Amino acid sequence: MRATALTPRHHHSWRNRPLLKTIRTIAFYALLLLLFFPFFFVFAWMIMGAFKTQLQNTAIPPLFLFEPTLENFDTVFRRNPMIQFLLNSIIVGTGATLLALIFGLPAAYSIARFKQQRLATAILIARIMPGISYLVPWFILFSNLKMIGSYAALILAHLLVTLPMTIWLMIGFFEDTPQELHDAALIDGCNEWGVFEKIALPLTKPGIAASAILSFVFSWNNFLFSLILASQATRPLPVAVFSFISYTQIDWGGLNAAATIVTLPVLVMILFVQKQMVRGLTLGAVKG
Amino acid sequence: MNKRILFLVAVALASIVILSACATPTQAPPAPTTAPAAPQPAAFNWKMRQGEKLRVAMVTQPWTQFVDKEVSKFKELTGIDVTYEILPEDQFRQKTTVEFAAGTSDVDVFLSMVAQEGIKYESAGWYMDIEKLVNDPKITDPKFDFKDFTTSGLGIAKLSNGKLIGLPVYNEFGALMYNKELFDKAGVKYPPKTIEEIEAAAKAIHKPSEGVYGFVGRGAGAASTSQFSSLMRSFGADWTDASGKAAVNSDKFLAAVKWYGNLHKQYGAPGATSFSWQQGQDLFINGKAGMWMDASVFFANVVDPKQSKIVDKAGITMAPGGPAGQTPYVGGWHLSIYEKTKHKEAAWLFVQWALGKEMVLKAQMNNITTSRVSAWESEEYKKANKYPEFGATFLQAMKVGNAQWNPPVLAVSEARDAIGAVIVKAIEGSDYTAEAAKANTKLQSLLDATPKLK
Amino acid sequence: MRQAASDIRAKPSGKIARGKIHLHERWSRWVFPAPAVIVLLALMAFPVGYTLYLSFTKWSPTAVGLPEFIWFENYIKLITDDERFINAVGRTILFTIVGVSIQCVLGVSLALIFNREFKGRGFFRTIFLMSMVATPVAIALVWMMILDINTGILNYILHSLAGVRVAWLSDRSVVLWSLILVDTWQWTPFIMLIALAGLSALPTEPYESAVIDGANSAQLLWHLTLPMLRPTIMVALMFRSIDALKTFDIIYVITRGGPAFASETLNLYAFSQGLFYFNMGYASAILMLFFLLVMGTSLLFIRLRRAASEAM
Repeated sequence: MRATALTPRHHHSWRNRPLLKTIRTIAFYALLLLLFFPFFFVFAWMIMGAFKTQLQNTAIPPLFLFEPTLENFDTVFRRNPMIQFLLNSIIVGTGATLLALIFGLPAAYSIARFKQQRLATAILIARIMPGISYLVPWFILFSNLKMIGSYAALILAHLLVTLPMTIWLMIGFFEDTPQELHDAALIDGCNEWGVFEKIALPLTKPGIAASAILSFVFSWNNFLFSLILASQATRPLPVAVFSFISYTQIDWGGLNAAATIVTLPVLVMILFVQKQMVRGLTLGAVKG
Repeated sequence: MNKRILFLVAVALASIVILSACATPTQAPPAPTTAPAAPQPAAFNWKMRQGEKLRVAMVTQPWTQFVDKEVSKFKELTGIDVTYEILPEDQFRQKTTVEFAAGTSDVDVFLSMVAQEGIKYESAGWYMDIEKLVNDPKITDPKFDFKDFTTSGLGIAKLSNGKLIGLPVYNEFGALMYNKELFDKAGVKYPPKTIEEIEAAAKAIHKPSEGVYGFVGRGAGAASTSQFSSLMRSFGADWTDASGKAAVNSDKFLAAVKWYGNLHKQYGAPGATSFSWQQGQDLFINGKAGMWMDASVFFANVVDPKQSKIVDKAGITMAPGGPAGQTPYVGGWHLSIYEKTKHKEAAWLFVQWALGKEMVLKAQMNNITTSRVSAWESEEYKKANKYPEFGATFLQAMKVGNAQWNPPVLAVSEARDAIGAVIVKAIEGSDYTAEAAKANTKLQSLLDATPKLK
Repeated sequence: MRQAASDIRAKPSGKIARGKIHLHERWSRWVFPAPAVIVLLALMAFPVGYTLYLSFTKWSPTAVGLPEFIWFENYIKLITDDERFINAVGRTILFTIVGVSIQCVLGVSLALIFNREFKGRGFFRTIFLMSMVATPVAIALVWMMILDINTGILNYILHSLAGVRVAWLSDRSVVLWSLILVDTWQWTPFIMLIALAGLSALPTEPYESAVIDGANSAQLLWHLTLPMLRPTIMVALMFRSIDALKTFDIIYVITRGGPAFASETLNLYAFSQGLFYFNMGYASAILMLFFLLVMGTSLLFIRLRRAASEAM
């Protein structure tokens, strides 16, 4: 049962008076819209900017009504191999996500099953280390391995973001699975791997989905690692946004169009999977 | 225990190797060139390095976009395949420096700014001596006409040790752009040439209540020092004194800082301390600023109807003169060859093609201020050029300009950050002399740490 | 209430099987996490070790020759003779404390709003979620436009309504707050989500008995909801603080630490020293101290959370 059902306002007497209730509802939505506005507006402004010409984008005062142009999107696709960048982001994101699951799931299971709290804390260190400190050493390492600019180097770099995250998210989900099933399976002669494979994994499917989505999103958004370790051929989308800032010109329309193209897939993705994502983001914290 | 660690390392390495096996190579496979053979000069064999591959690192800027469109012709001409990397300025510097430093870079040709990274790259031994290539008849097209480059253009590409580290793709000078309409409205004559004239004009034009400002220019710390260097010299100051000691808190330097700060405070736009070129340009091309002091390269934007509202009203002159004369800075990007390249000849062919007479004229026709006399003087360009005063100003600036728009140190960015802070404080109206003292100490330590070039 | 609170903290028991120690269990606990640990170690060991080593040296990649070993000189200089570093430390802490505090208050408030059924709940929640998953670099560029003093929409609105223009990015005393604004915009939803999940996991019994005892809604919120939510909030704060301390993308894009270093946090300073100035040794020393700061903060929160759980 959810606490929601019992929040105190349900017990107030005026709850039954229709007029007050209406006013209250209106006030509530007004407040909500007020809070909601800035979150919505930034995206709206970005998308509007994507349909403005350079003159319209730098106009003083800013324009709300204007004749939209598709030129920016044309520029984005003409000046950049956007399809290639998109593909790169997908390849790197998928690679980093899959590896994170392959390595992370057994680890998370073990931490949940055997209460390896210290290990969990130790894995957190990967998240604590400032990302910049990896850049130069990795560049040296990867270039000596002749891997610079390869997908493999990028995937490995992103793995450092996705793997600890996957582990931390999945600990909560594995802790959530009923212990009795484990015990029963063990008694039935399953070994630990069997339990993991046949019981734990199927039971935590939503969690795995959530981890995968979040891993993908974070890999998709990563800018710093991609900047230094990618080459022109493997460069992912976020770096591409920067190609609209040149030595002599910031092409605001193109930039907004590129920003829209970069953020849109993620935004659309969460429309479909927001339930799992919310659960994924929060379960680890609530369970901790 | 040790064995276990060894085992872990071995597993880790093995997984890396497995992963790298599925890595795609950095360079795209060469596109088969089936194009008919281009007309070739009989004397020079452009195909001498057919089949080789070049990697070129470039900065996002108009010339790069121009070359980008033409590069397929180079492949036709030489049979050399080119892959390139184009990044914005800061990211470009970070990436190339990290690459070169790691010692494993496969970059062959790159764009460089001598005054920015010249000392750093030269002391690390990353620049190839261009003059040696020019003087090698076996690999240099007799029609290349090296002498056609402006003397000052080549001078900018030279280091204090006399080594030519690249050839200029374009040059620029410290300019003052002005809005003729606003000048007429305020009843001021143009072009404004001295600091007094600028102050008077700014005063007459400045109407903040109407959103019109007298003067805009850079104020965002490090970004502002390059443009400021023109002013500094107008006041008779320089980064260092005659003996080479740091001098950014000299009386003359401080006078220049004070003047610049006051101009911003009295007749500038709000927020000047966050202004790089872009914010000044936004105001200027919207007709909201009487004058804009910045690099001449931006004039192309000012007269581009797609971006600017003041196409027909814009004028350009050199950065203002002061008590010590008029010495705008001059600079530009250069095409350099990486010393450790494995494709020296192919790289040189690329430079010759990209900066050959024909390509440079084409660039000039695309509003790029190139460094070849033949391009500036060609009938084709003269006919097409709608701003004859611009050409004259450009050539004049190249004659009198000073190429040291950055302090002569290895750690240029660090020095610019320190000196930029002085300018920020002056514009704010806070204690810039104390900041200048700090900056001077910093600059001196950076000068001390700068190696002498051999 | 004590009972109820400890209920939600209860871990899945696992104790039933305790008596029966399987042989598998002994090696499973090593084998299962091994691949992940090895990968992480392989990815981290060299960079961390190398950074630590470099922090004791004077080295620029443009210099010819090996790094020169100078022991603690970098650290001593940082602590005793580097104003930019000391300022950056203060700024980083200020940015984190103020930013995360605002996000915490806003986030928990939003969670309380969303913790009831209303029409359009899913829609609104999705919009709130969006800012969190949007690519930071892209969003930062959009904010840069919005905050521009002369052409930005925010100043246009302020100017039309109140007749003022704020120098969001050019006033040294304002710029850090502008960045906190952007950070808050992006990350308040994160705290909201976690608080929301915490709220929905709260037990109902304490409310029932409190209402019978005549508690009003403010009392319920203050004496029941918030204390029970505290362990959850602590976790959210820990993750948020780690990330806030390490904030890079938005500052790099919007201000690059300026004007005159007024928004330069530790991460930005280390980046400048490392990848603008190429003082690798010095930058490494900054990074090591920075690491200690983030590590200390995390340990603090782990401890605080434990205290919060035990207090109940």
